[in-house]
Amino acid sequence: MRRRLAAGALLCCLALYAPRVAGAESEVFDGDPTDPESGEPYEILPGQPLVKAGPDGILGTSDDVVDTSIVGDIDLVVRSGSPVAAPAIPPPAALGGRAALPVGVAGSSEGGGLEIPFTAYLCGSGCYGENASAPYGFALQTLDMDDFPVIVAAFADLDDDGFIGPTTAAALSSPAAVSLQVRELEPVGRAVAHFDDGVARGKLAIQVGLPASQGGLRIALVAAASSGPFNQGKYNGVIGSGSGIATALPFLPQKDFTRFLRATAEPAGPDTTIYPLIQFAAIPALDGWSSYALPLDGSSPTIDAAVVNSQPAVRVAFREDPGTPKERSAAGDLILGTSGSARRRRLRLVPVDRLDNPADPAAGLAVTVRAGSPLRIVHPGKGSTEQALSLPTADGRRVVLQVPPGSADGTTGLVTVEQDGIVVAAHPYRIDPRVNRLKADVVAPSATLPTIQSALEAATDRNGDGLVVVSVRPGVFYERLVIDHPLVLQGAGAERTIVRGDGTGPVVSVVAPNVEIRRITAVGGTTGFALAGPSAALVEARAWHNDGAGVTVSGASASLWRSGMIDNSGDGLLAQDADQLACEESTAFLNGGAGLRIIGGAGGRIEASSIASNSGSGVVVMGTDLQVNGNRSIVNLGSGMETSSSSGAQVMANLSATNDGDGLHMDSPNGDLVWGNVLVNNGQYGVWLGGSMNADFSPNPGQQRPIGNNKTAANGEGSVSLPGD
Amino acid sequence: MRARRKNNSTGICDAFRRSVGRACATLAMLLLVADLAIAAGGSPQLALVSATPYRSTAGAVTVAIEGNFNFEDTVQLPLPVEVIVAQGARSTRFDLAGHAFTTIGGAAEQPDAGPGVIVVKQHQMLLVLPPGFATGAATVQIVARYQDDSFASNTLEFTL
Repeated sequence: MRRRLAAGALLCCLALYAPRVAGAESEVFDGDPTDPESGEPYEILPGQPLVKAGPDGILGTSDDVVDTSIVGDIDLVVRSGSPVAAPAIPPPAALGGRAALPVGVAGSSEGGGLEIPFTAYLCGSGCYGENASAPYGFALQTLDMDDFPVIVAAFADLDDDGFIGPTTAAALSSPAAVSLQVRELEPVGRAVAHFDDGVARGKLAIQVGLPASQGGLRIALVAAASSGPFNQGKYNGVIGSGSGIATALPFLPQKDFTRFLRATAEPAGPDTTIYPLIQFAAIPALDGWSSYALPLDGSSPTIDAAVVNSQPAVRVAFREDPGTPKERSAAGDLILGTSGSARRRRLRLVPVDRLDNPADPAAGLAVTVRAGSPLRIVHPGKGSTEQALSLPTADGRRVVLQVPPGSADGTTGLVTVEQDGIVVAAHPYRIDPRVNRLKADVVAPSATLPTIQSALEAATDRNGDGLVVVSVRPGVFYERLVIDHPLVLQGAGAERTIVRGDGTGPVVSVVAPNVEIRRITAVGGTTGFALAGPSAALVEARAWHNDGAGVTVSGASASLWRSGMIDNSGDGLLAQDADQLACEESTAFLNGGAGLRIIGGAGGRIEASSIASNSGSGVVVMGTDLQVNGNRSIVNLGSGMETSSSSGAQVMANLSATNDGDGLHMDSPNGDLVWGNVLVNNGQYGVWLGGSMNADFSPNPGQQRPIGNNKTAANGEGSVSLPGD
Repeated sequence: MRARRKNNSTGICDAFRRSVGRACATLAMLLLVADLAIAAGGSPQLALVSATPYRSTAGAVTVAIEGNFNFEDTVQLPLPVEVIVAQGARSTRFDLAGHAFTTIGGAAEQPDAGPGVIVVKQHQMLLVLPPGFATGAATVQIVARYQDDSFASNTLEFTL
């Protein structure tokens, strides 16, 4: 009805009025500064200066152009709860303190949770502080954004410091805390609502929470929306291509949605799936011109806060136990070393809800922990393989596992926890000397070596153990590193030691031979780790959110073990002419190109790795005598695995499932062996062969009969496509 | 593109209460957005990569499954993901709220006592099988019915 009426009005007014402001999409932009080049309103966060991409065209890099003469006004406001309908925008609930905040329960209501209601308001000129009777202004009752979506997202205050995101105060007092604050930049909930007369109401389910006995977990609510028009040629027509508006955000947002929109992007609404569209362009720098940290005390007029409790505990789970409860994250794989402190693993067993959030236990919660031999439980108890525990509070109990002296490298076993006669936690463990802690020659940063780079340059083998070891404390370090002599660079864990580049080059460049990098995250570079020196090694490292490949390898005999390449805009791993590369037990998720790509070189191997949700193919290899064995490649936009003009490749015992392309795409194979793979549920063929039939599909040489002993099923276009099909 | 039907209408008075300029902007927009496009979503991407059973001292079987099941959409939004474990004629369907239902030979589903799914994490679920599953081969699959379409992961074979 409204559309017909409005259409009628348009016919009248088109003849009477020229557009008021060329290019202005909505009344919400009235009075906003306009980009003279595009004629569109600038996109500026409220209270922040105008930031434009510099010559590299990428936001969040050091060549960004900041114009402090233009500061963002308020176009959009979000409030938690369900304020009564009124022209005036209400104050944030957060102004009333923690006790006044709406309280939700983790998860959607269908899953036992309780959503947080929210209300988003469009706000025109004079929105805040300009009207005594409405300190937060009036909702802009405009039709021109009717039916437009607003995305509301939530961020959790994991360290309970009253802010979302890195703060200068934490950087000065406790650098380790900043790495936890970086984790606060990942949304923990998002929902879509639609504007109606400038107001949008909805509800937001949050995936995290803390026990009510601990006061729950505070979250911030933010919002963002785009204006039209919607062009099929841009973002598949599902995001408006006009200027965007947003509340305060804890970072400069990523505006290049092609980084994470799949080609199959579809319209979204309150009851549909949603891409995580509110993401950071870069981890905020703390020494720059501005802070993005969001206060939760109601002093930021565009946002609001809420509290989320966890659901009742349904089981127990292991947490890492680094010392402070705030830092406890889900326990990673149990890989124990053979010497020193690496023989021990200090964990905490805590009651958790169905979503793995710490939770208040039911009365009398008791469990039994069992460690398969040779592992021992040394706390509580004195070296037993079975220990009964009661867990009366949400804080849980510390459990320390230890490898006895002399245990063989490669030993495997299982740690289980039983509760009420069922296994509620199970952790396979393995003994591997690669996780042994190395004795540091230099620790950075320090009073005399204030940067990691200065420590790298000064480091010598002080303790005479034959290795030069630089240990880096937990924290976020804004540096670019160049390693030009053999050494080991050792962090405190990939989630705890983060090196943040400036977008102008690799975060970590290795140009010397025999350099090993352990347990460090590299983020915000043109690549995370650039391994040019021979025999470079990444051990439990992570390349995250770089504006190119996560890891590049050009030196021979490089290795990656248990390392991650996540959310980089290029390939996860790009190896070029790198002989004898070994990538084992690593992960490549959400990269803009292929997950793992080897071009040229001989004798490389990719083994036991997980590759998922990349925008290209999962694994791409082109070279001689390459091995792709025992990997899991799923939900990639291209094929699960792809070989091109390979010679003598082995592709064995892989799972390739639910990729948009083929399970295995082989272009001009030359003597390849393809055996024991499971190639199922892919969008195109299980196996696609082109240019050549010179591949064996059986362990018996010469048997060129697809599919051989590979398994294919439920592929969209069939099991196999042969040359000439 | 999917049209969304509005339930409320402000009517003629409201429409004309607003400025002509506003109406112009609205209509220009409506013409451009002929059939309303709304933010960005995507079809569920369901895939399984492993299923590992763990048997308790009392004989109960817990299965850890790993894969992709749109975790954020599943726990933040009502994407109704379910897990189906089958062995011979026996099939048990688990929802993520902890309910489980078993059918044998295609007979009507019967509710199980639970606890069903006890963990839902980014790439992992943990579920407890009801009694009746025996040692031997079984399969697991993740399914979702979403916007009148059915989605299913690969069917993964494993051994109990």
